[in-house]
Amino acid sequence: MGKNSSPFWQLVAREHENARAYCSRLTGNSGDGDDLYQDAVIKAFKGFDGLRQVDSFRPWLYQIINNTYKGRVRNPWWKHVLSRPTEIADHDWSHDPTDLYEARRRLDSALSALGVDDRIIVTLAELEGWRISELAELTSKTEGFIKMRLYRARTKMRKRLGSLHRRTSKRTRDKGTVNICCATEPEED
Amino acid sequence: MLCHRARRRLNECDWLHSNYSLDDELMEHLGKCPKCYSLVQAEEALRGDLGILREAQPDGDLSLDAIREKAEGLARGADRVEQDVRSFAHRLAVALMPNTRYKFAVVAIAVLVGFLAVVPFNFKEKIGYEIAIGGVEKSIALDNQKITSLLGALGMEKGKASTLLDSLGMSDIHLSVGECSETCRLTISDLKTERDVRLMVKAIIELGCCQIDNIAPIFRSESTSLLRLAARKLLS
Repeated sequence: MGKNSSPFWQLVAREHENARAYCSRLTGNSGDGDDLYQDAVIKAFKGFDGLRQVDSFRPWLYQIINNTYKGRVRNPWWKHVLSRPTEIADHDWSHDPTDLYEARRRLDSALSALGVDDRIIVTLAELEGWRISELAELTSKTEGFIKMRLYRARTKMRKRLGSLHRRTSKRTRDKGTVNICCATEPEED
Repeated sequence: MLCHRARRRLNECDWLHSNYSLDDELMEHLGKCPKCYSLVQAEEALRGDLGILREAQPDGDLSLDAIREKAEGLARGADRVEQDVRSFAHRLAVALMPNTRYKFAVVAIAVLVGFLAVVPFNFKEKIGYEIAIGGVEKSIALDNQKITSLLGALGMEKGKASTLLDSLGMSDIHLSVGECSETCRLTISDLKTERDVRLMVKAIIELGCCQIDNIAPIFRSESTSLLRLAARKLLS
C-alpha cells in the first residue's frame, strides 16, 4: 500500500476544493462535510492501488465520497421513524438572518423529500454543475434515466416546499385570527 | 383551467416567470389556485436557494497536508500491524513446523503402539505334534505308561531309547492310552518340532511292532495383542 501515494496526492490536490465543497453541500454544513471528505480521502488512499485508470480518478473519488455519505446517512429503520423531516415552520428564521442559512435550511427541507441517491444526483447536478453525461458515467445509468430522476426529484422538492409554504402561511393566518380575537376581546369589555 | 393542465404548461415554460407570465390563462389560474401558486413560489425559492448555495464555499480551511499525514500515518500503522502479524505468523510457523511434525510422528507411534499393545487378536498357535499309534498290545500299553519303558517293552534297546529321547531333548514326553480292545491306541504328544516327529516315526518304524495311525499338529487358540505376541516370538 502507498506505493502510488505521490500521484494520489497530486490527483487529490486537483479535486480538493471542489470535492470538499461538494461534501459540505451534501451534508449541509462545513463540519460534517469536512469529516466526510477526510474519511473519503483516507478510504481512497487505501484503495488507490486498485484504481486501474488514473483518468477516471474524479468519478472514482466522488463515488467513494457518495458511498461514505450513504454509509453515514443510512440509519436503522427506527431512526427513520423517529427523525421527522425538518419543517420550515419549525425554524425561527430570525436568528439566522443571512440568506445563506435561510437558503440552506429551505433546501434541506426540500431535499428531505428525496432518497439518498436522488439527493446525491441533485447536489451534483444543481450545486456542483455536473453534466448529465458525467452523472450517467458516475452512476452507470443512461442519460435519459438521469434526466428522469432529476425531473422527478425536482417535482418532489417543489411539492415539499409548496406544502410547507402553505402550512406556514395557514399558521400565520391562524395566529393572526387568534391575535385579532384576543385583541378585540378587551376592547369589547 | 385545471391544475393538471396548468402544471404541464409550467413545465413547458421550465417554470420561468419570464416564460409563463405571457400566458394570461395560466396567470389567471395561479391567481385563483393557492396550490399551484405555492408550487410556483417553491420553484422560485428553490432556484434562488440553489443559486446562493452554488456560490457558497465551506467555512474555514482544511489542509490537504493534514489529511495526507493522517492517511499515511494510518497506512503506516496498518502496514506495521500487518508486518507484525506476518512476522509473528512466520516465526510461529517456523517454530512449530518441526515440532508439529515431531509431535505428529510421536502421536502416530503412540497410537500404533497403543493399538498393538491393547487391541487383542485371536490366534491359533501350533504348539507341537502328536502321533497316534495303533496296534500296541494291551498288556504292553497299560503296563508301560512312560515312553522310555514303553519303547523298551516294544523292543528297543534301552541305550537307543535313551539316546532318542536325549536327542529330542525331552525325557518326559506325554503318553496317553486311548481305546483298548485287544490292542490299544497310544498318542504321543508334546513333540515340539517336525524333527522330533520324524525321529519318533523312524524309531517306531524300526521297531515294526505297530502302525502309525495319524500325525497331527496341535494348535492352541489364544487371544492376545500383537505386541505381546511379537515380544514372545522375539524372546523365544
